[in-house]
Amino acid sequence: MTAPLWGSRSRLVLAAGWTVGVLVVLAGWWGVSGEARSGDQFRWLGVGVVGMAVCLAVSAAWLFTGLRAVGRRIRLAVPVPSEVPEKVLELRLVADGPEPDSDRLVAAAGMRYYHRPSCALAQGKAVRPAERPEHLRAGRVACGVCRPDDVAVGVSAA
Amino acid sequence: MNIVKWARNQWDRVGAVTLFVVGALAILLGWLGVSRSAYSAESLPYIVSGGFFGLLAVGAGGVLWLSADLRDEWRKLDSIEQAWREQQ
Repeated sequence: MTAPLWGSRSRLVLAAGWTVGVLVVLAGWWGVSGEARSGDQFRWLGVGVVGMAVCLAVSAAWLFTGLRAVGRRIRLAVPVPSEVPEKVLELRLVADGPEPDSDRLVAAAGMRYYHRPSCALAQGKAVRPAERPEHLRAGRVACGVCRPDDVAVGVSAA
Repeated sequence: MNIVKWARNQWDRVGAVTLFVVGALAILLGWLGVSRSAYSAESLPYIVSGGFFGLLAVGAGGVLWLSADLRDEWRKLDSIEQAWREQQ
């Protein structure tokens, strides 16, 4: 269990302040009631105002102490935005366009080169897709026109 | 919920409302006293007794009510910290 919101000192100040304030207002009332002339009464009226000011001051101090304590605890529980590390954008190199998928490399039986499916040299031929290692095992090399092993790269923020 | 139990839990708010009512009554009685007085010397004691004490009662009610709000926040922070400790 945590400490109470207001400590014993705050309670003492509030109780003492209110006691004094109310007593001063009572004194003002007693003084006003005992005077017959308005001029003398206003002096006692001032005493009453002072008593009210004392009560107001200790009440404001009480609430201010409580607000500060709650605020301090909230600041401990919730991080201040300026202390939260900013999210850093990570730069990653990714392929510009379709992925260099080896499945999409094509060649036909008896061909010496493997190509991209879009390569002009592969058009109109009975090509079939295969993975790059398979083409390499068959003794084929990359086409010098469509350059299927070259990957055009771009930069994008992830 | 049982009203007595509720009033015990919310003693500060019940006290605040009571003080508001007492303060309003004091101000009303002070105003009645002033309105029936023919001389200013006769009306000033009513201003102090009715007006000042009425305002003090209303002020004390306000302090009690705001204190209750702050205590609620304090208890909520207690439960948040407790939940964190249980998670860790």
